[in-house]
Amino acid sequence: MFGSCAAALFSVITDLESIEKSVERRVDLRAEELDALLYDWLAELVYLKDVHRELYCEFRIELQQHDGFHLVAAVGGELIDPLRHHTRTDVKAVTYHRLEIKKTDSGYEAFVVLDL
Amino acid sequence: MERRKIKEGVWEIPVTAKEGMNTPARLYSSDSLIESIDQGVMEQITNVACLPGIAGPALCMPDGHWGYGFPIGGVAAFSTSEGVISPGGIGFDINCGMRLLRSNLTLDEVKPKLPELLNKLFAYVPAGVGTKGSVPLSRKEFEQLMRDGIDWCVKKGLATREDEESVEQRGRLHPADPGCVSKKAFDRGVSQLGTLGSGNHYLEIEVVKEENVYDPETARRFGLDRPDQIVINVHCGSRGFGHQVATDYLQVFTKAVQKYGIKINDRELACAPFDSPEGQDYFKAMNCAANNAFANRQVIAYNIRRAFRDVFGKSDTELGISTIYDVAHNIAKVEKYIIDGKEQEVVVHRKGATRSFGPGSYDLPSKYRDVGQPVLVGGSMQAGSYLLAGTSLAEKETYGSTLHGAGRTLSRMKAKKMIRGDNLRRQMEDDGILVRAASMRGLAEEAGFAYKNIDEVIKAVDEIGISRKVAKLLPIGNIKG
Repeated sequence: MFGSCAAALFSVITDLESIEKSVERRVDLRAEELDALLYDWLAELVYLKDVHRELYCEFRIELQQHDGFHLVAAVGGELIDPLRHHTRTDVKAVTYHRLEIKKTDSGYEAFVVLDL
Repeated sequence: MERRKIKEGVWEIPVTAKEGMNTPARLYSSDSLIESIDQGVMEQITNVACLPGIAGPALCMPDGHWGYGFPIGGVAAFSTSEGVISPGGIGFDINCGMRLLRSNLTLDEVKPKLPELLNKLFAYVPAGVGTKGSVPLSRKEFEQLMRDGIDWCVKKGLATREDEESVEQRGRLHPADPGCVSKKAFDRGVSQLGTLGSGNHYLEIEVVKEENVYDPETARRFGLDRPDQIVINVHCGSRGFGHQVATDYLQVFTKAVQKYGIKINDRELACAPFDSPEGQDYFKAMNCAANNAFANRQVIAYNIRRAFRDVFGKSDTELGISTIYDVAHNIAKVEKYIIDGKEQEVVVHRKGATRSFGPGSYDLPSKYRDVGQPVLVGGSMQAGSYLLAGTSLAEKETYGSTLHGAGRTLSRMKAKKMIRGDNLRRQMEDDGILVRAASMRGLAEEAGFAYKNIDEVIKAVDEIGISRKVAKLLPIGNIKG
């Protein structure tokens, strides 16, 4: 679910297929609740995108539950190239507006509203 | 939800409408607009009325629509001693606002050179995803900018003293403490000074037609003094810096509501007492972001002057490009109002709402003191914008506030499904509006039909009297992020 939400976030900005993997960033986050961790995870990706001017397409995630939740991830992507990445709009922030994580028969389902 | 009309243009939702409401909520609208108001706005504004220490009715302006926490168009005043401050009442884009510049040029002079002018502006004012500003900043300089806003720009030669006096609160809000700003916000903001961003942010070349001037005397005082005059309008905010400040403090305030035992109906209304360490830290960080936004629009104005000089080969004096006004529409300010018969110091939250101070009010440049504050209202790319003047009635009724735009009626997704960006661009060019857009798909999201009819929304505030019509500004060229 964390990987799918990250992929959805970057799909809002551009076509994921247009992003190649030439750089890797590490993310290490802890939170008491799963939804707070999802918020922090997506907010961290927005931060990395802005600071490094990069887009990401690959998310390798390890999630552990022990005294709250702990996420360690390797995030792969590349520098924004206006010639190759046809951007639709930017994602400026993640919101708690109607944020919801549901357990389903096949896994988890999340609803997240992004500020564009 | 129950609502009753209490006077022409104003509807009230009583405190009995929802459990926990501390004050009524009021919707400023018109007989026709009120019918299309969505249920989400009523839910959100009544949630605001439940927050602790709210000093008077929670208000929603006629351009109101569904937001996060507060509705867009939401205005509320909280006691500085008993009330709260909430990032959800300010917005992620802290001090998103408008800057309007006048010029000595007319439509006939600009039209032949418009494509060249737009290309130059597009080159000088970076727009879109991942763009970098043209003013490199050291850590120390960025901290100084956070504290001093436009004053920093003046010292750097990026603004004139005349620019400075034509900005809300001279473009310098205090207390502003960079120590309350996270390293992440610093990192996101340091390279973005002078950039337009994306979404609904734009830079527009507009014309003031004689038939669209409703109050010639006030228009003249605001610098509109010739037929078919060209003006330049900028809509943007504090970019990644403000968004990161809001993101950081949303997390802080999520914990603060538990610490202070505050009941909220929506997580986006996370807040802290204004008079608490968390509340004060956010206020000081928010002011840093607001000062950054004032400086951002100023650097864009500086680059607009450069572009005009280059294209028209004229001096600044000949071009006469000066700031009519610069005003925030996502902000919290400490102000004083008579509420329930006595003067109270309150922290006014304006979320998609503009300050609208009337004649004689403090913090007006001396040149506008007897006509009121210029109020800048951005419409869609196709419909145009308005220049209004603030009124004393706004100070009496709406904590010195009025609307900020036309108000969305269609989501970005729906708008995109209805028209392609390149078709919209052709349609606009047929209507005499040239466009340069960083993203064609982003352009479609901002189509005119995605917004309420701005003429109707402006008519509503003019008739209610919380601001008055001065002139309508029609677009001829648009740079979109």
